[in-house]
Amino acid sequence: MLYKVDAIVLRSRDLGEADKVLTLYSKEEGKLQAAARGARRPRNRMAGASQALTHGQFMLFRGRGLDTVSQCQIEDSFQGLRDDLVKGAAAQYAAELLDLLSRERDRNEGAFLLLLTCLFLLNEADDVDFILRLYELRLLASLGFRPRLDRCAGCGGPVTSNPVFFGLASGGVLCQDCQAGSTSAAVADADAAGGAEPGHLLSRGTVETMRRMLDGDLRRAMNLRPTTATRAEMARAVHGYILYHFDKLPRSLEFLETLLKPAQTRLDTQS
Amino acid sequence: MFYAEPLARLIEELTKLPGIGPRTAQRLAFHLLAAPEGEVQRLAEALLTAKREIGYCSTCFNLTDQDPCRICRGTDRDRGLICVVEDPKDVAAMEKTREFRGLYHVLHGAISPLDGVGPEDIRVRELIVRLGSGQCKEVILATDPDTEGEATAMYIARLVKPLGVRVTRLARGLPVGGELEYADEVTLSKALEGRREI
Repeated sequence: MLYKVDAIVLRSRDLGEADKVLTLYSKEEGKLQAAARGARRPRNRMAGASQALTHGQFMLFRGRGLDTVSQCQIEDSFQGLRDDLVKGAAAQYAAELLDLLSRERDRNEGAFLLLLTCLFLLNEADDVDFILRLYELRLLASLGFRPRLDRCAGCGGPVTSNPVFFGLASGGVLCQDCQAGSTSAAVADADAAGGAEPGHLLSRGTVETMRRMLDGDLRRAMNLRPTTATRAEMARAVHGYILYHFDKLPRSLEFLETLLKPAQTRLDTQS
Repeated sequence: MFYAEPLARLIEELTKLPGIGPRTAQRLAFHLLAAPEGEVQRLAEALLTAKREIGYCSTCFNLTDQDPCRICRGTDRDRGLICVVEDPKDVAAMEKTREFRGLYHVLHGAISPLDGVGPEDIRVRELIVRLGSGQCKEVILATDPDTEGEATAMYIARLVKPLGVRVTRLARGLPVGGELEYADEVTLSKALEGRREI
């Protein structure tokens, strides 16, 4: 049976002599795998479309085993991401995150549109770091892991402390009572052990920025200009949250982080 | 056990080879049994000799039985030109063209963050050290034109350019014998970008 999907190639891996297995994230069916026969041969018509981070229309054949790609048409190959090392690495991270956080054939149109928007933004804009934080927060929300930031994730009451405790297990900010209830140690940072709920201390400003990034229009959120300190706090909290709930972080994050510190990288490689 | 132990063992060993399933392994094993002993002996010797004698060239990291390899020792080679490729099979492909007279550098992989392969897992550092001698004037990046190959090329370019060495990338475009209407948009736009006067 043939069916058509509007999809983004999350990744591709080699299969046999000249084939590839594509991991697609489609608007219609969510994440799925399909074989692109002969896609590693230079004259194959699917060679271009089977590159990771390509958005296209894919005609798939549903057989008994793995589905196969019978035709494909590129909608956008995001050339800007392929010509820029940092943007390319950021886009790969975005794709890998969705791959990591989603299950096969679990349709989620919101997540598909979010990745597509993220690729567009990375292709056009330069603030790679902020685009990724925006994408991570909104993707988590879209998959049902929206962190609670307006009120206490434990009791629903107001949170007035500053800095605020962001509990990874509770999935949001905690008031002092709930934090005291869930922690046995006095200091409760993620690095602190002792049976306490793992979490991070965030400034009120960071929590407010995260809330604004999650709510409302994406374009308005893009106008936010968080400080370096806020960005660092946010990255720690969001990555800690992903790690806590999904047991791992995308492998491409490490490479991206080395690229964002270019001087350090060069030194490492030349030493 | 359907087969005598030595035959079963041969089939089992052949099954470990890439792309060889149990049925193909069985067919190969029967073929070897039926072949003259001299032929099987030569195959066994070839396998062992290749395994024992082939190593990496300490200069370019291509597979070789002598160090430095034939290409690195060649007196007719242009030492100012280094072509960077992903694996030894790419060296063979480039050599077949008979167009390239420079030296090679084999990376043994490409940067693939999704598979956890970073720059430190391939032979980038060795390339930078090699360029330190100042003999090389141009580095040709001949990594595959896919996501991983492009990332690797850009990463290397970023490290090599500050050393004052010219960095070039293999041209991308239409394959010989291909038809224009079947070319995808990316290939076609790259071909247009790299057009040349005739």
